Amino acid sequence: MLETIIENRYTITAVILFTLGFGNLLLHQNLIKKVIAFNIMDASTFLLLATRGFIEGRSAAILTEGGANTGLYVNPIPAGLVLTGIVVSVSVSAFSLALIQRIYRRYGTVDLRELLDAVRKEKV
Amino acid sequence: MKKLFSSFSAWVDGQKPFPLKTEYPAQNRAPVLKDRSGRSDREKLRIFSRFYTVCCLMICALILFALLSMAVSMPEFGSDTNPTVNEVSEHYVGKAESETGAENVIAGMILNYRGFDTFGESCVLFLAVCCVIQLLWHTGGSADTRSDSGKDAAPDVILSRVCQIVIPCVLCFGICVLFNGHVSPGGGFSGGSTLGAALILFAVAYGEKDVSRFFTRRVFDFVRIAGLAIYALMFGVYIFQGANGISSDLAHYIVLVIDIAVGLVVMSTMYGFYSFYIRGDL
Amino acid sequence: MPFTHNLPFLCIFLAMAAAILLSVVRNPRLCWNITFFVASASALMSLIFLSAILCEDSAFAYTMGKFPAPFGNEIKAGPLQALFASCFSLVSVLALLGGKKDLFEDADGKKLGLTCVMLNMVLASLLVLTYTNDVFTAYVFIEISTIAACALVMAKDSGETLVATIRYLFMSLLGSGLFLLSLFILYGITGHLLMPQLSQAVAELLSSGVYHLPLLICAASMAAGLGIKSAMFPFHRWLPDAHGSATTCSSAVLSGLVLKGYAVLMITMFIRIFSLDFIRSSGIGAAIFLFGLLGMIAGSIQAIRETHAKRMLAYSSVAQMGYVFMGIGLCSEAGIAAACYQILAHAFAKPLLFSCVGKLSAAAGHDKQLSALRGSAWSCPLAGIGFAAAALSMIGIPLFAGFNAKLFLASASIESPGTILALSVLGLSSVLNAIYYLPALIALWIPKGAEKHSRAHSTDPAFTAASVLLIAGVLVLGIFSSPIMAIIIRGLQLM
Repeated sequence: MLETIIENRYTITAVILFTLGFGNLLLHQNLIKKVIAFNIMDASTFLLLATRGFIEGRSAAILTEGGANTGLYVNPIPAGLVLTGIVVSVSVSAFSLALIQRIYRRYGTVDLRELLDAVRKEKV
Repeated sequence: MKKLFSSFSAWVDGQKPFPLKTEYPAQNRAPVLKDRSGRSDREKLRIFSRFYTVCCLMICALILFALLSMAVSMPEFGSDTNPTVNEVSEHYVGKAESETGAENVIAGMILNYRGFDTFGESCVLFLAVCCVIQLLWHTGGSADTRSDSGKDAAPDVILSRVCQIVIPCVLCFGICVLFNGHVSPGGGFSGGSTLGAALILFAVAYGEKDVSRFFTRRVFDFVRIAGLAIYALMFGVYIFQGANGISSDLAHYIVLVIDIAVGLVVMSTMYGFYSFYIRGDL
Repeated sequence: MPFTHNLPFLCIFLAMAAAILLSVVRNPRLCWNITFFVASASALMSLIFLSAILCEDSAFAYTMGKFPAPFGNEIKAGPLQALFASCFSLVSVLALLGGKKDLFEDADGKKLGLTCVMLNMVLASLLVLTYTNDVFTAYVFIEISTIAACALVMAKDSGETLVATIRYLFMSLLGSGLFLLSLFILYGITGHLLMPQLSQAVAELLSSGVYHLPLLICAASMAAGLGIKSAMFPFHRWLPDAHGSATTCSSAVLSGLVLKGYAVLMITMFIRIFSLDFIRSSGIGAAIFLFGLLGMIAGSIQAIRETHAKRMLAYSSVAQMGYVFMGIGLCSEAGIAAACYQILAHAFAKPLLFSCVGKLSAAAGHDKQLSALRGSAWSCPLAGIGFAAAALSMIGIPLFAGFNAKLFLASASIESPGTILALSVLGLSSVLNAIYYLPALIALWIPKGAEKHSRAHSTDPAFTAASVLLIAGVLVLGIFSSPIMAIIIRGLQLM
C-alpha cells in the first residue's frame, strides 16, 4: 500500500490539490479567493499531465549532440499541452481579475453574497 | 378554484404577479408579519447556505475518494512503458527537426504539428485583452463611483538607477529567447512575456507617461493585431496547402515566423494588462 | 479532394480573422455590418457544404496542417456536423438581426466593436466544437467560447450584468477544470489526443479491462464538465441571471447556441471516443437521463414562479436543455437523434422568443416584467405572432418544431428501460410549459382596456426579417421532420 502511494506521489498530490481547488471554488464567497482556487485547480491538472510525460533518466525534449535519438528525451507532448494550458489559465485569470476590479469599484465589496444583496436592492 | 381564477385574471390585467399555491399563506398573513419576511428570508438563506456547504463538502469528498482510488491505478510514474510513450511522441522527437526545422521539439510540436491549438490559444489571450479593455477602458462615460487611480508618485531614485542597468539586460535576454525559440529553450510565449516584463518594469520605474510616449494605443493595437494576423494568415495558407496536398516548403520557416509573431502578441498583451489595470488606458 | 471540403475550415477561419481585425474598427455600424456579413457568409457556405456532403453521403477528415491524424490537428465533417454548422450560423445571423436595435442602445458606442469581436469568436468556437476531431482543440475552443460568452453577457454595462458575468465565469471555470482533468487522464491512459486513435485505444482498454476505473472517472468528469457548462439541472443557477440580464442579441446567442455547442461536443465525445455501450453500461447515461428529467421539471417550476419575462425564458432554457440531456441519457441512436432534433428546434425557437420579448419590451419602455408587457403585442403584431409561434413550439403543439422533438424523444424512450418514467415526465413537463407560456401569450394579446398602445413608431426591417425567418425555421422543423431526421440519422451513422 505504502509503496503504491510513494510510487504515485505526484498523481496523488495533483488529485488532492484538484479537490482543494474545486472545493474552494465552490465554497468561498470571496471572489479573489475563488480566482486563487481556480488557479490551484488548473495548476494541479498541469502537474498531473506533466507527470504523465516524464521518463526516468531522460532529458528535456530539446535536441542536443545526441541527435534525434528517441531514447534520450522525455515525451514532448505534455510539455506543449501544459504550455497551452498555462496561457489559457493566465488569460482567464486576467479577465476575472479585471471583472473583480470593476465590481469592487462599483459596489465596494468582493463578497459574492453581499454583491447579490446589493444587486437585489439596486433593482428595487 | 374561484380564487385562483380571480387572481389569474388579475394577473392578466397586470395588477399583481400570479401567486403560486405555495405563496398563498404568505399573502394571507396579517401585514404585521410582513416585516418578519425579511428576516425569514435571511434565515432561509442561511439554511440554504448551510445545505449548500454540506452538499459541496460531500461532492468534494466523493471526488477526492474517486480520484484517489484512480490515482493508485494510473500507469506507473516515470517508466518508459507508459501508454503515453507511443509512436506519436517518438515521431515528434525523431522527425521534428527534419520536418519542421526546429531543434526545440516542443516549439516544433506546438507551432507546426498542433499549430491550430496554439492559434486558438493566442486567440484566448487576444480575447482576454479585449475583455480587459471592455471592462477597464475609461471612455469618459463611466458611472463608477470608486476610483483608486491617479497617484503619480515621484520616481524612486534607487529604482530608476537600478533599472538603467537591469532593463537593457532583460530586453536583450527577452529578444534572445524570442529569436532562438526554435533551437533552444524558450520561444514566443516566454520571450514575449520577458519583453512585456521589461516594459512593465520601465513603466514602474519611470512612470507610465514615458512608456505611452512610444507605446501608444495605436502602436499597441498595431502590434497585437499584426502579430495575430500574421499568424492567422500564414497558418491559414499552411492548412489550406497541407489539406489540399499542395507541396511547399512553408513548413520549414513557419516555426520561426510564428514564434516571433506570438512573441509580439504576448509582449503587448502583458503590458496591456498592466496598463489597463493601473490606469484604464494606455 | 473537391473544393467543397475546404468550406468548414474557411468558415472557421473567416470568423476568427474577422474577430481579430474587428478589434481595431471604431465605427460601430461598420463593425455590426462586418459581423453580419461574416455570419451570413458562414451560413451560406455551411448550407452549400451541407448540400454537397448530402450528395456525397460520406464523412471525411480534414487535416489542419501538413501532417495527418495521429500527429497533427484534424477536423471531421459529415452530414450531422454540416447540419449543426448551418443551423448555428443561420441562427446567429438572425439573432444579430433581431437584436440589432437593442444592441446599439445597450452597448457603449466605443465598445460595440469589442462585442462584435465576441460574437464572431462565439461563432468560430461553435463551429470548431461541432467539427473538431481533436480533444485538445476542443478544450482550447471551450475556453474561447467561455470567455466570449461571458463578455457577451457584460456587453450591456450595468451592475447586474457584471455580477451575473462573474457567477457565470466561475461556474464555467469549474466545468472547464473538470473537462481538462478528464482530458489529461484520458491522455495518460491512452497516449493519444485525436479521436480516431482515442476510440481505438479506449476500445482496446475496455476489452482488456485494464484502467477501467480511470476510464470511468474520465467519462464521468467529462460529462459533468460539459453538463455544468450547458446548464444541466443541479448546476443551472447561474443561467437565469446571465441570460436574463444581458442584451437581447446576447441572450439569444447564449441561450440558443452556446449551450448547444457543449451538448453537441458531448454527443461527439460519447459516440466517437467512449462508445454508447460503455456510457450505458457504466451508469453515466442513466445519471444524465435522470438529471435531464429533473431539469425538465425544476426548470419549468422555476419559470412558473418568475415574473420577469427574460428570466422566465432563461429558466425555460434549463427545462429545454433537460430534454436534450434526456435524449443523450437514453444512449441509443434514436435517443441521440431525438436530442439532436431538440437542439435544432430549441436553437430556432429560443432566439425568436428573446428577440420578440426585446421588441415588445421596447414598446413598453424596456420594462421586462410580464405585467408591463400586457397587451403589448398590439403595438407590434409581428413580435406577438413570433412569440406565439415559439411558445407553441415550446409547449409542443403539432405543426411546430417542439412537437416533433418531443415525439421523437417519446418514441426513443419506448425502447429504453425507463419508459414509464420518461413518458410521464415528458407529459408533465409539457403541461408545466403550457402553464407558463399560455398565460404569458394570453397576457400579451389581451388589449389593455381604454388606453390603446400606439403602433410601433418606426419600422424595423432587421427585426421583421429575423422574426419572419425564425418563424419559418420553427415551422419547417415542425412540418418537414422526416427529411431532417433522415439527415440526422445518416450523420450519426457516419459519425
